[in-house]
Parts: sequence; C-alpha cells; structure tokens
Amino acid sequence: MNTATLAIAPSRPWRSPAGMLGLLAALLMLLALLSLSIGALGIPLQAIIRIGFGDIPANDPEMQLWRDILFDVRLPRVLFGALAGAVLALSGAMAQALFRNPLAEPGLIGISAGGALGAVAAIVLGSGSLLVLGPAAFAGSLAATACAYHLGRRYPGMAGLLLAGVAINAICGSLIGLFTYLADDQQLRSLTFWGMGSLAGASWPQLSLLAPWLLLLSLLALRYWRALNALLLGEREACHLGFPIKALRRTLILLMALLIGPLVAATGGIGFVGLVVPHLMRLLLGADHRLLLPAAMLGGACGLVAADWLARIAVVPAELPIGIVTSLIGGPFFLYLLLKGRAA
Amino acid sequence: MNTPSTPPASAALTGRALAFHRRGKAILDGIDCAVFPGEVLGILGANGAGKSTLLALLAGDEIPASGEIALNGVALARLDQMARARQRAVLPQQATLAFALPVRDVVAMGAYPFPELSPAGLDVLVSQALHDAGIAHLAARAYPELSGGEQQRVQFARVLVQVRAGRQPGEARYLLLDEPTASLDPRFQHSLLQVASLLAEREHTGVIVVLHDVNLAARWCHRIALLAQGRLVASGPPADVLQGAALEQTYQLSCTVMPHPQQPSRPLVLFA
Repeated sequence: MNTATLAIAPSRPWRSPAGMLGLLAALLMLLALLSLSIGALGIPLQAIIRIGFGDIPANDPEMQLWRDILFDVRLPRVLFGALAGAVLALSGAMAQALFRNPLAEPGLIGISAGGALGAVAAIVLGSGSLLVLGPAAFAGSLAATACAYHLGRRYPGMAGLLLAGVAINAICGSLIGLFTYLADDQQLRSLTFWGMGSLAGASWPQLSLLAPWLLLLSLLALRYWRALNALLLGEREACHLGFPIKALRRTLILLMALLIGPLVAATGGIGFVGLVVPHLMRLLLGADHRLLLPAAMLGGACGLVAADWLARIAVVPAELPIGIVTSLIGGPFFLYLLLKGRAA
Repeated sequence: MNTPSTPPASAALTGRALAFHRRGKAILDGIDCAVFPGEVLGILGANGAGKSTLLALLAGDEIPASGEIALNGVALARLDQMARARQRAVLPQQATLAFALPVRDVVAMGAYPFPELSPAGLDVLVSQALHDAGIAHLAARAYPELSGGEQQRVQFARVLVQVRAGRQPGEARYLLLDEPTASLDPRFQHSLLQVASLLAEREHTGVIVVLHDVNLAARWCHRIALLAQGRLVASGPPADVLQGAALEQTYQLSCTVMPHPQQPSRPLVLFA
C-alpha cells in the first residue's frame, strides 16, 4: 500500500522515513566535521582526515598539535554534545507523549530544577568541585522527580503529577534563590555560569562514564515506541491496548530521570533542545514514535553540536555558555513554529 | 442467530453480583450479566443508569466493590493488561489524539497487543478493518482533521483489528462498544452494528454494546439488558424485553410498542 507512505509525506516523495534518518545522520557528520575543523584554531579538513587515519608524520609539530587539540579537546566535546543533544531530545519526545502535550518537557516534573538545586547547594555549601557537583546534581534531580512522582500519584491521571511538578519546581526555585542570596561573589559567578550550561567539561573519562549509561538507557527507551503511540490515544485506551498505565508511567519517568539527571549534572542547564527538536521532527516526519524517537535523537545531536560550535566561535577567543545559544535560537524558533499554525 | 459450535463452558465474559459505589452512592447493585461468543448483547438504560460503569467494570477499568468478573473462565483481576488486551477490545465513547497520526497508523495500533504479527498479516487486517468501517478512502488522512463521526469509525476499525488479530482457531474474543453510534448518521449507525453483528456470528466474538436508540438495539442485538438506577430491570431477546412496562420503568417515559411494519418479529418502540 502506497497510502501509508503518502500519509506521512503528502507532497514530498523524497521524504521517506529511512531517507530522512539518513539525511539527519549525514547532517550530523557534517556538523561534527565543521565543529572539529573550525574553532579558535582552524584545522584543515584534509588534516583531520589524515589524523583520523593515523597518518601523522613524526617530524611535523603542527600536525601533532592538531592531533592533540582534536583528540584531547574537540572530539570528546563533539561526541559529548551529540550524546547530550540526543538524550535531551529523546527525553523531550517521551515527555510530550506521556503528558500528551507538545509543550511538555522532562523539566515539568522537577528533573532539571532538582539537579540545579543539587548543583547550587554543592557550589555554595561545598567546595563546588566537579567531584561533588556532579553527584549532588544527579541526586537532586532524582530526589525532586521521586517527590513529584509520589506526591502526584495520589491524584488520578497525569494532572496530579503535573501539579506536584509545578510545586516541586517552585520549591526548588525558591531554595536556589536562597542559596544564591547566601553565596559569595566567587560562588555567585560559578553558579550563574553553571546555570547557563556548558560542554567545556567534556573529557574522555567523563564520556567513558556517561556514554555507555546514556546509550543503553536510550536504546531501552526506543523500545517503548508502541506504548508512547498508544498514549497518544489516551491513558485508558493505552490500558485497553495492553499497556499497564501505572507501571508504564513509572518506567517512563524513571527513564527520563536516569537520562536527564546525569546530563544536568555534567552540562548544567541546556534549555529548549528537549522542547523544540521533538516538535520539529514531528513536523518533518509525523508523530509515529517508532520513527520520531530515533529522529529526535539524531536531530537533538545535530542541534547541540551546532549550538556548541556557535558557542565556541561566536566570541573567539572566549566562548558563550551553550544554554544561552540554545535558548537564543530555540526560543524564537519555537515561537515561529507556534505562529506558523496548527501543523502539529 | 447462529449458536457457536459447542463452545467450552467457560467461553464467556461474565459478571456476577456486581456492585459499584462512587462516593458512597450505589451506581450498580447486584448485576448479573454474561455475553457469549456469537451474540450481541445490548445494554440500554436512562442517563446515569450505570451503563458505562458496567462496561468499565467488564473492561477492567474500574474494580467492582463486590462481585466477580471472568474472562473466558479466568477471574479478570488475575489477568494483566496484556492478557486482557489479547482477548478483548474496548471502543471508547470518543478518543482524541494528542498528535497527528495518519488514520492507517491509528487503526494499526489495534495490533499492538500482538507484536508477533507479521507486517503483511497486519496489512491485511488493517485493510479489512478500514473497509468494514467504511473509511478506506480516509486511510491517508490525518486523524485530527476528521469529523467526530469519522473519528469514531476509525476507532471502530482499530478495535476490529484488535479483536481479530492473532486468533487461534476456536478462540473466543470480546468486543465492548460504549455508545458507538453516538455521532454517526443513520446509515453508519446501521452499518457499524451490522459489522459488529456479523463479527459475533461468524467470527466467534461476544459483543457488548451500550446504546441509546431502542429500535437500533431491537434490530441488531441478540439479547438486551435494561438497566435502571443501577439495577437490571429485564434481560433477554429484544421481543421479550422491549415491553411497555419495563421500558417505562427504565426511561420514565410513556411509550407504545408495536410489531415492526416490515419485520413483524421485531418490536418497534415509539416514545411519548
């Protein structure tokens, strides 16, 4: 039947699902190469390819410098950016299906605010070193999500969870305010910058710790495409299709918290990727989660690699916090999508 | 009506002595009902009589205060959602879709409880259901763009897929329809119930349908249960149940019952 494909792409025959995923993957490769090549110090593409093949002459100090920059700085950062973007957009798509709302994102149930509270507390009360800050942010994010989930469970449906999330977000916000008030000038500066997000901390040890975790959980999340589609019909209808709604809700929330928690800890606040990318992918490819989830991952990876690249080259030799870039581009873009109308 | 060929004694969806309360108020009390493969059971009653609640109990959405529900001989409470979904489908009164999906994808969701189904097998089921629901021409449209009646027929096609998918020979399935004709024009009211009736008779399915139109029920249901204030007023074949006294007790409205001019065995009910 051709009607099925037609339904997804009425007037654009080139927009087959597989083709779109391939296109996104190609775009990601291109952006990654650009990001590796252009920066405070330019590295020609040919050199990148030669280094990639291990063709580094021992008597060429320039090539060796380039290799060090590529392997020690840029490559982990690009990889981590792609991973973070993929996970943020994937969680956003999951949250939007779970809440049946295109404006939803994991932050609604306190995941991000809890992480921020943990981080700010670590900066103000503790040394603020990365060893303390990361676990504190992760713990804060899990604790806030658990609070929202358990308080919200007392009401039927998702309304309770949303209301509990609003309350938890407000409480976290006020506590962050309190810590900000107590902070000295140096702490104030670190917590402001943490809040704006950065991938500058990306390193191989961090990647080797987070990448297997995030990739495994993402693969697990991809398997829930049927349940997420069924949720679009409604919670009772999802039940009738064989998905135990309470267990499903708990699993999805846990997955989001386990995905976003470590990211908030590692990168700080990176806004709008989780909100805009799934929305954009839905416009391009439709709402079927079998396709939407991998597309959101690729799209999110593209988005964050591009945003990080812009953050690095916009004010050379300094760099902008990436959260500023994503919000600066994502916010107006989201408004544009909203104004463009009822397409999604 | 064809009686199914020697069904096992347990092949039925049954509720025994069902009671249900909401905030201390009895919604249902002492209801016994059963639907067997091969028949359409109509549930009639005034607004607030407990029809949808009874359907929700039988679907497992609500848990009865007392009484027992069994699906093919197994207590419903002991079956998980997946086991239930593989034996019965439920048509909601209305279903909105949070994001736009094409009609064909919505209909194909009916096969989600059967991931073992091959893509080709699924395609056949979906095409047949689209045809049966009279929406083959809408297959490529986005669900939210459709009218309320068209959306209802898409949902009907979805539950048709669910109730037909992955059947073993002789396996009994059940279809629960909550006011399926509410937003349909007369032609589609009849064609939907005709499909349900054929499904019951030819495909070893027990169908329970909540209806408001007494004459529609008289035409298509093999048995009718009349509910009033949470209690069963009468239950049996349409000609036995659709009597003046029982109907007036059910709807609190005077009525005249006469033989249908063209089908004398079928009662025709005129209200007020």
